[in-house]
This record gives sequence, structure tokens and C-alpha cells, in this order.
Amino acid sequence: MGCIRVFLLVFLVGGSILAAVATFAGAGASTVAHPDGISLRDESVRRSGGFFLMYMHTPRYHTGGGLRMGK
Amino acid sequence: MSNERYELGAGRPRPPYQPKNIKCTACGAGLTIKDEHTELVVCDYCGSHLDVTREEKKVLGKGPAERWDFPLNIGDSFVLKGARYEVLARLAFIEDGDYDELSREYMLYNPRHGSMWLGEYKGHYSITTPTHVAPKSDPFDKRRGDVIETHDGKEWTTEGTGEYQLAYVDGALPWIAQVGDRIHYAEFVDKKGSGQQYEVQRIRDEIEYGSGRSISLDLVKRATGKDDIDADIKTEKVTDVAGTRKQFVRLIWVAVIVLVLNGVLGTAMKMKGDEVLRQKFTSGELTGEAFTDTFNVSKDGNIIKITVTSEPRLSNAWMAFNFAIVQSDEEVVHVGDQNISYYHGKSGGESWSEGSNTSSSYVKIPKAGSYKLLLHAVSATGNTSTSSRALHGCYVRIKDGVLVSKYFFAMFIFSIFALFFVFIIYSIWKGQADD
Repeated sequence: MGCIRVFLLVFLVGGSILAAVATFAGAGASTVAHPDGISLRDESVRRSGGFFLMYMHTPRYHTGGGLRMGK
Repeated sequence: MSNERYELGAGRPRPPYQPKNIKCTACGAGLTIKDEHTELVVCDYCGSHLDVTREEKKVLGKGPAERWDFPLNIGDSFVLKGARYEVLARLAFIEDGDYDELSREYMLYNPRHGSMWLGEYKGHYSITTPTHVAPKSDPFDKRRGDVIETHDGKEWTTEGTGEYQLAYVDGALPWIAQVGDRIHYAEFVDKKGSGQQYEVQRIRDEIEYGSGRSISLDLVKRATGKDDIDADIKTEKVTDVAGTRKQFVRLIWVAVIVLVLNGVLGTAMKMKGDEVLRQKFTSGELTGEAFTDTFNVSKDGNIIKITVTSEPRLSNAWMAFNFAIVQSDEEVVHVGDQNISYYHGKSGGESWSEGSNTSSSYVKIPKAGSYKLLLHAVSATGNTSTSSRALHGCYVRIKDGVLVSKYFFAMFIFSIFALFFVFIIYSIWKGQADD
């Protein structure tokens, strides 16, 4: 009982403290990828016909879904 | 006659009971009855059990031929708080037919203070005196850790219940005891942890209550003047039932508090923030690239939450959604994407579904100011793996000044599991026989 009690207390109290720290530190939110900015007025963006096409180079495709799981 | 003899309220002390000499009906040996409540006398010489409730003594039978080993003998002294008690009877009980589960009890008698019981189980001693305080509920249907209340308002934690069997008796007893008698017992300890004990015993149709406390082996040695008592007995650690129950209750309270706290904080965090944009986009707008209206981020370092919901709802379809956060109408500071898919069907006669029509992203914006999103999406149905156009539109919602609530909700869920776990081990502990 002693070990289980200590483990659960540490888990519950410690976990809650960690959850609070992570939440208020903004963990889980992405930081901006381009703080200096990518100009939408650049020739390359305008010429390629769209920002995302220029930015991603490749078409998007889907990698999964319920019907592909054999259900 | 003197006036004093009849004066109101002037009671007289009761004449002390004079020990009574009798002869064993079986062997003729001289025996002495020291307690007036004695109903059974076991002859020291031939072991016959004599019913002494009537003038004509009746032999009930003989006890077991084998003499049991007792550290104290009939007639030994036990001095407690200055009063000398004498061992009048000795009883040995076993539980579940197991001779290792042996309890020895001594009836201690003092002409002025009456009788009390000295009990011993695996080297642990306790003193019990009879009481008339009854429990408010059935004590025999309790499990370890259950709490009962007695009519004096005290609360007791159940240590254990069970049945033991009388294996041996000698001396003089205030009831007709027979080897083989079965006694139901229920033992309790003060819920507050004072160490006080309470017990209930049911012998045939009679119920007796007792209260007492544990005493140390040193005290027993001092009271009896015997230093060699239980020298060869290994005392086993006795479970502190009240203390263990208290630990379980505290643990359950901690788990409940953590559960509620994380639930409340998670909900509060989820509600935090102000909606700064809500806008609908058609599939055509998403196939090309479309800007949202401008929205404001109120403080440096604020987190914004971008939520995308497909419209119409996806049905066995997927949507790949790209967004760029644009500052000052022309500077892209962040690019992100979200995959939304929702599939459903029936398999093996059961319905299934997976995915969602909504997805969210959290982005920390370093500088306050005006922003807008540049959006693009493609979507398709079924197993189609690529697409160059969107079949579905969407709603875009942006909240400013949010916090990520998932950590509190994760702890909320973990707390539920922890609470279940504690209840399970508490239930197992309650179901275990007291060692």
C-alpha cells in the first residue's frame, strides 16, 4: 500500500503541476515558422500561380482513412 | 435496629462473595468457585467439565486429553493498575481448523472489579472488558475497512469478522462452554486511531460486547511477573486497519480533488480567449487561394486557435487544409496544415466511425497586430488518394488569447483511471482476510 500510495500521490499531484506548467508556458502551440516573414509580393510567389503551390512544391495527398483500414 | 440502616440514600456495600468449595462429581477432587457467576468448572485433576449452575453438580463430559500450552496458568496473578486479577479460565480458539491461527484467552477475575479478558494472538496481547454498548447495525456483515457506529456515538473501523472454534478450555467460566463451540466474532478499532478496540462475539444465541485495547508484551510480563512469556513466539506485524483505511480514504479524496481541479481548469482554459474571426468559405474559394478577413491579436505572445469545420459535413471523405498566417497584408509568418477526415460504415454487424469534421491548430504569435489567413484546401471521397480541388467548403474560427487545455483534460482522464485503480485495490484489501 505504501509504494502504491506514494506513486499515486506523485502521479496525481506531480501530473497536475506539470499540466499547469505546460498549459501556462504555452506548450502544444506552434511557434511561427517564419518570424522574418515571406513576402507575398515576391516574383516567385506570383509567377507560380499560388503561394501554397510554391511553398509546398508537391500536391497534397491523403494517407489514411477508415476505408483504407480494411473495415 | 439503627436508624442508619434505613436511612434513604445511604447505601450499604454489598457483602463480598465468598469463594465456594465444591467436589468434582467425577473424581471427588476439591475445587473452589471464586466467581459467583461461574457456570462451568473444569476439574484440575480429571479434566471433567462440571455444570455448577445447580446445587447438584452435573458432569458434562471430559475435555481433550491433550493439554494445550499456555504461558499463564490457572491461578496466576495479573496486576493491572494496582489491582490483582487472577487467571480463572483459559481458552484456546482456532480459526478455519488451522492450528496456526490460534488465539488464547484468559479470564481474569478480581472480586472488586469483576472479570476481564486477556487475549493473545501471535504474540500480540489485548485486554478486553465487557460492555453493554451495542452497535447500531449488524456487526457480522461488515468487511474489513467498513465503519460502524455504536450507541455511544463512537465510530469504529472493522478489522475483521469470522468464526473460530473453541479447541480447549479449563478453569471456571460464567457460561457452559463446550469444546467445538463455534463463536462468530467481529473486531473493530477506533476510527480516530486512538487504539481502542471493540468486539462483538456471538456464541449460540448470546451476543456479548467488549471494549479494550492492545497491550505490550512488556506490560504483560510486568503484570504477571513472568519474564519468559512468549520467548519462543515470533510476533507478526499486525495490520493497522484504521490507519490503512484512512490512507485509502485520503488517497480517494486526493484523486477526486485532482479530478475535479483538472476538469474545472481544463474547461476554464478551453473557454478562455475571444473569438476574433468566424467566416465561411466555399469549395471554390478553397480550391483557389482565399484570404480571410483581418483579425487582431491583442498581445505579444498570445496563442491563437484556428478551428476548421468542414461544410457540408464529411462522409467517407477527407480534406487537406492549408493555411498561412499573413501579417500586414503581405508577410507570411507561419504556414500550417490540418487533415480532416470522417469515415463510417458497418463491419461484422456493428457500426463504426472514425475521424472528425473539425480540426484545430494552436499558434503562438510573437507580435500583437492585425493578421489574416491565406487558405487553400483540397478534398476527396472514399479511397481517392490525391485531389487538386476541394469538394467541401468550411467554417474557419479564430480565437485570440487561448491556452492549450489538453494537458488538464489528460490529467482529468488519468485521474479517473487513478480513482478506479484506488477503488479496485481498496476493494481487494477489504476482501482480504485479516492477517
